[in-house]
Amino acid sequence: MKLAYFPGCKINFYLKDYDTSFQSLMEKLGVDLIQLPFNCCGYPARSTNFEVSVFSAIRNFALARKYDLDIITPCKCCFGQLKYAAYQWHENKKLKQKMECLLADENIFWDGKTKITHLLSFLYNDIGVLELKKKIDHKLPEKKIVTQYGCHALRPFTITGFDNPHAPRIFEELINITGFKTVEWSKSTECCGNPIYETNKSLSLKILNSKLTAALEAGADHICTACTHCQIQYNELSFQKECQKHKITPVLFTQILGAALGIKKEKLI
Amino acid sequence: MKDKKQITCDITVIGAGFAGMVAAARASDLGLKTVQTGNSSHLYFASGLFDFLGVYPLGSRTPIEDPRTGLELLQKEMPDHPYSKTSLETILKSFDFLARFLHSTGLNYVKPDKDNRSVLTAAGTFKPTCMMPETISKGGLLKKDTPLLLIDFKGLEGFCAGQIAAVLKKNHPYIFTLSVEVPGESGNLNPTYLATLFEDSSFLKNLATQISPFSNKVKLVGMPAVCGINKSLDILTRLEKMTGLDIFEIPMMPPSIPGLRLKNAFEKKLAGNHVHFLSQTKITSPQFNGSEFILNAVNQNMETQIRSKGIILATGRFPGGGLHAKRGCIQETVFNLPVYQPDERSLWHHLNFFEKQGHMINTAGVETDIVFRPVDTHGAVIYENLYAVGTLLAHNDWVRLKSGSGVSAVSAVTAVNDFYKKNTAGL
Amino acid sequence: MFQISLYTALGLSIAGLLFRIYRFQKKGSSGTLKLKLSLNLKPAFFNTIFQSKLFYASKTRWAVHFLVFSGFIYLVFFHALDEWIAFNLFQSYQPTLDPFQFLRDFAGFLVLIGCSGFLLRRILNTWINPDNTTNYKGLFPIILILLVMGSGFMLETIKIISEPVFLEMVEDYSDIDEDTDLDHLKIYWETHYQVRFKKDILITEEALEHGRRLNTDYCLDCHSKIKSAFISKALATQLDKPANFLNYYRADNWLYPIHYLLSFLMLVSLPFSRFFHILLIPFASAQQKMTVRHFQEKAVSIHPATFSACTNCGLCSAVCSVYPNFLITGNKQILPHFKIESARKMMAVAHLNPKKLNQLQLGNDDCTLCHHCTDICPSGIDLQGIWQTLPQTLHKMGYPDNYTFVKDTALQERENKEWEKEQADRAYDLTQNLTGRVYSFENCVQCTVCTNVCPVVAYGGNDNDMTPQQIMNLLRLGKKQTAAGTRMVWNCLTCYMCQEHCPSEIKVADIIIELRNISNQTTDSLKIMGAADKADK
Repeated sequence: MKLAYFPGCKINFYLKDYDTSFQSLMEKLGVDLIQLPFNCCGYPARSTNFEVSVFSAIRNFALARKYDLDIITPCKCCFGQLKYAAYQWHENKKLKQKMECLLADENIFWDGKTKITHLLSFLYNDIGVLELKKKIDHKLPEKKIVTQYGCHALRPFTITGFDNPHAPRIFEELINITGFKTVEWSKSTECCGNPIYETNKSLSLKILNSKLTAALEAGADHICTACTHCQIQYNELSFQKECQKHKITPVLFTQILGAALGIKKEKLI
Repeated sequence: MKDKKQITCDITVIGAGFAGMVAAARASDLGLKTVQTGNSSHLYFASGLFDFLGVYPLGSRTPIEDPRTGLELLQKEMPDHPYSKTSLETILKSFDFLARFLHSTGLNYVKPDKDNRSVLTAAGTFKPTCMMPETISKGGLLKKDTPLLLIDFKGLEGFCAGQIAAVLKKNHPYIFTLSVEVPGESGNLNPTYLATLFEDSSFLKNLATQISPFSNKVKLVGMPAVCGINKSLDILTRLEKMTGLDIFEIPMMPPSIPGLRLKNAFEKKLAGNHVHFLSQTKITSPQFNGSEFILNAVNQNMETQIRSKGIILATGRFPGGGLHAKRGCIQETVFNLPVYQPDERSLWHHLNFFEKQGHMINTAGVETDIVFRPVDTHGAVIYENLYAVGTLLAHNDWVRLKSGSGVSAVSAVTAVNDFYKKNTAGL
Repeated sequence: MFQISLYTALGLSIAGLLFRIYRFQKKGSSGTLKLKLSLNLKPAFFNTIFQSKLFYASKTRWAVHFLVFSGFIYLVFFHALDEWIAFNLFQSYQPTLDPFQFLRDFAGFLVLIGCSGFLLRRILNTWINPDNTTNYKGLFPIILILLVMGSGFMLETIKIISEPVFLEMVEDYSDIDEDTDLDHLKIYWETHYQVRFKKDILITEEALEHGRRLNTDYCLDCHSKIKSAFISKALATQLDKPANFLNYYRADNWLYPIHYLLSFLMLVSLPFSRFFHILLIPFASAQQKMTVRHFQEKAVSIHPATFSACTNCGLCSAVCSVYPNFLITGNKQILPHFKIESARKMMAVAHLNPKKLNQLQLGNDDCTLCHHCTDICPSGIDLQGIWQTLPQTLHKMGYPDNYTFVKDTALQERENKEWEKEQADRAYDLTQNLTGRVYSFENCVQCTVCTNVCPVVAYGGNDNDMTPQQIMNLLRLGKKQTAAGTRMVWNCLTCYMCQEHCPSEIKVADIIIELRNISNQTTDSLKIMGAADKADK
């Protein structure tokens, strides 16, 4: 199975181990990841310029279409943004016209047919929990773990169709096959705070720090993420120090699933 | 292009308000493959109390004490009312199911008594109701001479202990009030945020310290219904232990935390029961091919074709979008079912807003048979497996009769039970 | 003359170098630019000797550059510095002896091909991309190198055909005094070494044979066959007609100073031209690149000299993740290879054009810090390190990002500005225009559910001014610009809790984001106007 790999801008420099572990995981599952010269998904430009953000996304679709590939991404912001742009493409006729002209300048086009999937929806829908369970090689110890769903895949449901936006379950179902046990906490569907980290650091960190109290309340050993931005936020230095004090570790889903599937440690960091 | 999907199921619940949730709960409980569409946020407006029958006859100035007697009269005098299609036993069984279901989610409700209970509201008035959350139940201990402490929170709008005390003073002479300052908060406090603060033990301790000076003066404490979003009974019990007093919650204006608790409970449990929920998704162009319904569930980026044997229409009234008021008539928005309504628009409202008998528009709605299937003007069932439940039903001025949750619960449970009986012979 | 010019050139060059170093140090004393040198020698070695980064970036461009690099290095060590190097390394070295004669011409040939490649790329670029101003950068060194090569080949050619030089060499290195011997040698050299003599001499078999023997005795030790100097030989054959003229006027005597003076010009201009990349690129490559840790621990150091290591190759912009932003907005300062130029000028010049600085701030804001430009940069510059520190520097100079700008502008002040232009632009509006269409927000019943689920409201405390439902109300009151300037709009996490929970299904988050877009555009306009005002003053 071939999929175009959309890494997103941040993963290369800020979260290399997510990149590595994601690629190792896909390799283990028999997915051929094709690297294309993608540009930014357009999410950062959503705040500044609507046209730029939609065009950035559409251009990526056109590049994938050139090679007849669907797109998979490990980042939920990229996923949500690409889905949003796809919606604008079929809703906003004038914008579509303009984008088509710009794409034609580079001899590429899009017909709306490229599908975009996130790591979790791919694992849940395309591979399936049961199939994945069969491949578990080395069950992890029964540690308690809570899920950070990440906003942009969950909401708005009418754009992403990722999971039930109020009571999502696919992340828990996927984690539980690895041996870790998910427990309930109040922050599962709440934002990690990363979108305003650069502009309003204190508010961003306030939102982040509330996660620690809630995780402790739930008795969790780990907080699990499946989004580049969420994990970057959890890697924030002062938060990391607090986490170490309370013996809670934020982990990437690809690393725990990878470990459970028997992928060697060097290929996951 | 929108993402296209296909789902086949046993029953589709159109609507995620109270009736829709009860229907989905019953359907999934019975093992039916259920799809649900709608917007569950309307539960944010629920007080958390479940009414059976609070006022009868319409326009009566005093609430009734015994809903069963009221029901008997109603069934005689209002043969078109939804309650007249069912029995007391069925209504009680429906409340039973509701209590059981909610209990399995961790939300504890007190079982109904023979008589209605009086619940103190944020307006200082008493509202009759049938079932209440345990966190509100100790309010029943309030007698005329019970020394009571009422607390409010600085910044929390819509709840003023002093105002409640002023209204109660005529009959309750021993009332103390306390305005609690929340540390670190100086502006407006939203009920949801305040409720999350209750989940922090240091906040609770601080609150207990502020209440404690009153522990020798009062036996009972009333507080706004913001005692935590999850595990509210646990938090309340802890606070009671810390203060040594009995505490009860007082329902507030929306957004209501007991309503939020209901919403969360339903959403979580239904998702766990594999009810496929399509949020903010509308049903367009429903069709029936003789054996099953084919629905087009549409939202911004998805078109889901649902093939469903049965449908529970729980779309609500005007705010929910189940009924649409055009210039001269009222329409049912999904199937365009015939709507019982006043002959002309001028009859919709009485000129006096507080008219005792209420307004005729509030009894408009969909008429059904005894298992809540919509009927046409001749009384014939329109579709074998189409049911209409909840506030969409005609002849029920639920605001004035205080019969909302009862009608929703009994119609939803009856409808699903009926569908199950008729369609699972082969299963 | 040679000595004097050499020492003068050296002196000027070193003085220039010291001056540049002094300027770099001075600039480094401000902002986040620190002078701490954190060296990383292994990448510097590979990049300097093998241009490894360029190799990975583009094989073609690497090949063309390597031609010039290898040829040039050979010529510097085995031609210009042959007295110190070649003569000492090889006992039998002579410039006119193979393999050195061949290698010298070959090296020059490589440089010529390479430089032609450089020029060809620029010409093609000017056709494809006419307003790329960086096309003209670095032309001086290329042309200078071509002139040096050209003059060198011309010098060699002239020397080949030169009768006076021949006679001088015979005088100095042989003891031929017989006219017939000389004539025979001349014949041999005319035939086999392309010398052009004034007088025609009869060529016979015996004379040629005699000349060959004389050549073996006196010349062969130092002079290989001329055909190995393939370029000069080819040129020499073309100079039949003007040969006597050139010989008479001793063209070699004035070509030689031209040749070495041009070379010294390269030396003198080294600290001030593209030639400086010879030293700057190893320096930049040796700098430790800033990592996430450096920024977290506030231990950022970027040496100002690295800004000047840029060779305008444009490879950074070819891989820039926000290139599409440039296609839509047309702001060149989004692209790294323009940004670095502006940043460099900003460091070098005291007062840069306010409009330019404003564009730079806006353009740099679009950068998503994907590190592609830094990964590919053949000069080894820590581009991303620069982009990350630029906002702070610009802020200090009075060019803050939009968030800060709006935060520091009172709502009332924003309200007072009339934006009719915005109304006129609506005709071309390609956005959803939710804020301009009443039906988007008229159904709001002020239920405050959105406010209750918003994390910014919950955690923002007093820092937050409006709640989401108050924003909807502001829209209903027609106060779009006020709404766009609120803290709520700018702090919005875009988490979509509000929109997902709205009972009336109002697109609350989409509306707030659209307001932020409007606010950004308004702020951009305000900034541009402000910059224009500053420029006028």
